[in-house]
Amino acid sequence: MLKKYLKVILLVFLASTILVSCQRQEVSKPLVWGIPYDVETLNPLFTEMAVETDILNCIFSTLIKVNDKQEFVPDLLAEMPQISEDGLEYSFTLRQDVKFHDGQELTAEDVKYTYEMKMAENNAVPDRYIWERIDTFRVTDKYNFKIKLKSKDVTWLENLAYANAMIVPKHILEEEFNAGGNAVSKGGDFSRNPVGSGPYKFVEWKTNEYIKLEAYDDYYRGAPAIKEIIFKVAGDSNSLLAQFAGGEIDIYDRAEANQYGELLQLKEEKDIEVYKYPSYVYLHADFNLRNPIFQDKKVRQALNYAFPKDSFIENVLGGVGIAAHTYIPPWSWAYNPDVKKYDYNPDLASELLDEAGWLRGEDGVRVKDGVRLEFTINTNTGDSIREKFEVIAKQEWEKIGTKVNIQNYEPGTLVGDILQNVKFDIIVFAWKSGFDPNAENLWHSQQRPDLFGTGQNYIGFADQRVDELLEAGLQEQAREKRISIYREIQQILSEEAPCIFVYFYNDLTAVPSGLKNFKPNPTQANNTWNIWEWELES
Amino acid sequence: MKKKWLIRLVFSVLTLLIVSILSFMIIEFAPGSPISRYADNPKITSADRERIIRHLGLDKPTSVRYFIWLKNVLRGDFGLSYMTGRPVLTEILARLPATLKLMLFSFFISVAFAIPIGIYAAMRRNSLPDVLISFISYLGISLPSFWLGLLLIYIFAVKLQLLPAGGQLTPWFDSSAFPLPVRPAAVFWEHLRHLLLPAATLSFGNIARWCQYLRSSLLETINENYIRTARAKGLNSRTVVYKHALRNAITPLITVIGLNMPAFFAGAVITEQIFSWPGMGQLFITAVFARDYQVIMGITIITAAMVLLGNFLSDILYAVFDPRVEYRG
Repeated sequence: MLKKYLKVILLVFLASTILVSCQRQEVSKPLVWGIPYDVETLNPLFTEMAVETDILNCIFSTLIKVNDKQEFVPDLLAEMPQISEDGLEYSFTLRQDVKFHDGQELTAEDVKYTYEMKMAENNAVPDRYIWERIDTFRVTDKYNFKIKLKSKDVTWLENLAYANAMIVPKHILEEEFNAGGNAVSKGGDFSRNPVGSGPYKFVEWKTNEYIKLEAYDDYYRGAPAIKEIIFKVAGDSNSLLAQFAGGEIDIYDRAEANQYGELLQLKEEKDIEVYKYPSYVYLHADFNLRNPIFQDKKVRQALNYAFPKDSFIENVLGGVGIAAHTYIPPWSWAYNPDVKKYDYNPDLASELLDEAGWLRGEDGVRVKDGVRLEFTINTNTGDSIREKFEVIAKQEWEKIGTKVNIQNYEPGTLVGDILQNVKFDIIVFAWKSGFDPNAENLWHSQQRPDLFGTGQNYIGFADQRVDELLEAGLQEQAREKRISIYREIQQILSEEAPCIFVYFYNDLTAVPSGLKNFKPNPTQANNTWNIWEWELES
Repeated sequence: MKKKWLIRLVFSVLTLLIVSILSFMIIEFAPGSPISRYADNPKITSADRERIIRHLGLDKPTSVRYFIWLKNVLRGDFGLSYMTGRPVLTEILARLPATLKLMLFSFFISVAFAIPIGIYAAMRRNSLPDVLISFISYLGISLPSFWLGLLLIYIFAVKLQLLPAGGQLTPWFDSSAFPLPVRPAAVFWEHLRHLLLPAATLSFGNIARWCQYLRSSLLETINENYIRTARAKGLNSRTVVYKHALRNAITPLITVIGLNMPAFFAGAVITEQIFSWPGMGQLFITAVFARDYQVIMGITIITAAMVLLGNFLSDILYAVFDPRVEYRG
C-alpha cells in the first residue's frame, strides 16, 4: 500500500520536473527587478520610500529630470523653465504630446491639481516641502503655467525632479477626492491602480509578492523596448543575492558593499555586469555637542585623528567606498579639496588631548576636572559595517586613553528615540544628500530639533558664520559664488570637526550583461530614471 | 455542563481584553513611534510631523485611543494601517492564504514524518537507528531555522538551481502555456516547488520535537499494566502498539500540536523572511519595525484569539482520543 503511494508520488514528481524544464524554454521571461520589501503605495502624492521611486519612475513623469551626469533635463516640459530676474517666478511650458495611460492628455491643469492635492487639508501627504514654498500658481493656457515662490530658493527646482513631484491625473483623482469627502487616502484606489504618463502601464500588484508593469506604446518618447517589467519582493540582501545567483531576479540594485566580492565571482560564471559608482550617501559618527566632553574641539579633533579611516575602507569595505572629509562628495562641483583631512595619527591625537588638559588617570583613562573621558557609541543593529566601525573606533580610541562603550538599538528605536531625543554621545548612521550642496537642515543653528522642533541638526552645531553662509547659499544663483560659499562652509566644518565624516558609499548594481543604456544615477532620481531607453539583448 | 462552557467563554473574553490592554501599553511604551521614520527626512518639518500625528489620530491620550480602538474592534473594524493606509483586516487577509498554505503543508509533513519515526524509534529503543534518530532530532531542535533555511537555499537554489530561493509563485508563471492534460500537474508542481524549501525548514524542527515526544510517551505507555495484559492475552506486538499503546501515547502530542495552532495564523517570522514568503510573519515584523500600532494590535489580538481556540480544540481532541478524559470545562 505504502509502496504504491510512494511510486505514484515519485512519478508525479518526475513528470513535473520534466514539465518544468520544458517550461523554461517556452515562456518568455520579463525583466525582473528584485526589491527588498513591498512598497506601501504607488500614489506619488504619498510616496516616501526609495524603492517606490524605482517603480514610480516607470509609471509617472516629472516636470524635469536629473540625468546620470547630474544635469537638469526637461521631462514633461518642452524646455527648462525660465526664471525671472529676482529668482522668484518660474515659467513652464509643457510638451503637447503627453497622454496618460487612459488616453487623456496631460495639461497644465493636471500639474496645478497635483499641487492642490499636496496642499489639501485632509490629504495625509508626508511632506509639502516643495509646494509650501509656492506663493501663486497661475495656469496661463493649456500648456503654460507660472509659479511664484514666497522667497528666493535656488535649490527649489531640484525637488521637481523626484518622485514626490510626479504629476497625477486630475480627471481620475478628482473623483476619488470628492468621493472620499475631500480627501485622497494613501491606501485608496489610485494607490493600488495608478495611472500615469510614464513609459510603463500598471498591470498588477500582488501584496508582498510582485508588481507587474507593461510597456506603454503611446509613451511620448516612443514605446519602450522591454515589454514587461516585474518588481519582485525578494527579501533581505542575502535573499536578493541568492535569488540573483539562482536567476530568479535579473537586476539586483543596492547590493551591500560586502557582497561586491561575491558579485564579481558570480560575474565569472554568469553573463552579468556589476556596476560600482559613487553615491551621495555618507556614513558619519556624530558628536553630541550638548555633552561637555565634546564641547572641547580638541577632543573632537583627537577622535578624528585616532580613527584609521583609510584602512577601514580598505579592510572592512573591501574598497567599496571613498573617504569622506566633509558632507560634500569629492565629485561634486561644490567640493573643497583643501579641507583639513584627519589622516590617521594617534600620536597627534594624544598630544591634542594632553594640550586640552585631559590627563591619564590610574586606570589609563584620561580625566579632566574630575570627569572621565568615557562615552558610548550607538548605531542600529543588523548593520555589520557600522558595527565594525564601532569595534575599530573602540580599540583605537581606548589606545589614546578613553573609555568607550558600545550600545546598539533596533533601527526604529535608534532613530525614533536615541536620535530624535538627542540621547547619544556618539551616534553612527548615514545621510543621503541631494546633489545640491545646501545642507541647512544639518548645520544651521536654527535647525537644532531639541531647541526649535525642526531640522536634522541633531549634533547641536551652532556657528554664526556657517548660518550666514548657508542662508547666502540659498539666495545665490551664480555657480561661481556658490562654490566659494560652500567651500568656506566645508573649511569651517572640517576645522570644527562636529562629527567624523567616515566615507561616501559606492552603490552596487548587478544587471544582465545584455542590458543596454543602463545608466546608474546616484541622485534621488534612482536607477530607473531612464528606463524608457533600456534594451535587453540576449 | 452548559454553565461550564459559559464560564470558559467569559474567561476567554476576559483574557482577550487583558491581552489587548497589555499589548496596547507595551507598544505605547516601546521607544519610537509611527512618525520616527521622519526623523532623518530633511523634507519633513515639525509642522508636517504635527499634521501627520493629527491625521493618524495620535494626538489623543493613550487611554482615549485605546477605547476608540476597542469600540471599533467590537464593530469588526481594526482601523487603517499606518504604513499603507489600507484597512488592517485587508492587509491581514492579503497575507493569510500564503501563511495558511505554508503552515498547513508543513504541518502535514511534520505529522506524516514525526509519528512513524517516533513509533519506530520507541520500538527499537537503544538500537543504532534509535540513537541516530535521537541525534538528528537534537540537531533539528537546536539548529536555528535561519541557518537551516540559508543552507537549503544555498544548496538547492544557488548551487543546484533545482528549486526557487523565495516567493510563493513565479510572477510570470502562465499555466495556459501548458497543454490542457498536464496543466493541473504544472500548476501543482509550480506551487509545490516553492513550498518545499520553506516547508522543509519549518518541519525539520517540528518533526524532531514531535517524534521525541511520541517516543518517550510511547515508552512510558508500553510499561503500563494494561499493555502487559494485552501482551499476555497473546496479541502480537504490532497490534498492541497500534491499537492500545499509541492511542494513549498520542495525547501529550496532541496538546503540543494544539499549542502550535496559533502559528497557522501568525506564520513563522524568520522562515517567511528568509524565503520572502508573503505571509503574516512578514507583515508582523514589518509592522513592528514601522511601529504600525494598528497592524501590530490587529495581529496580536487575532493570534491571541487563536491561542484560546487552539487550547479549546486540543481539549476536545483529548476527550476524543482518551476515553478517560471527560470534558469538564
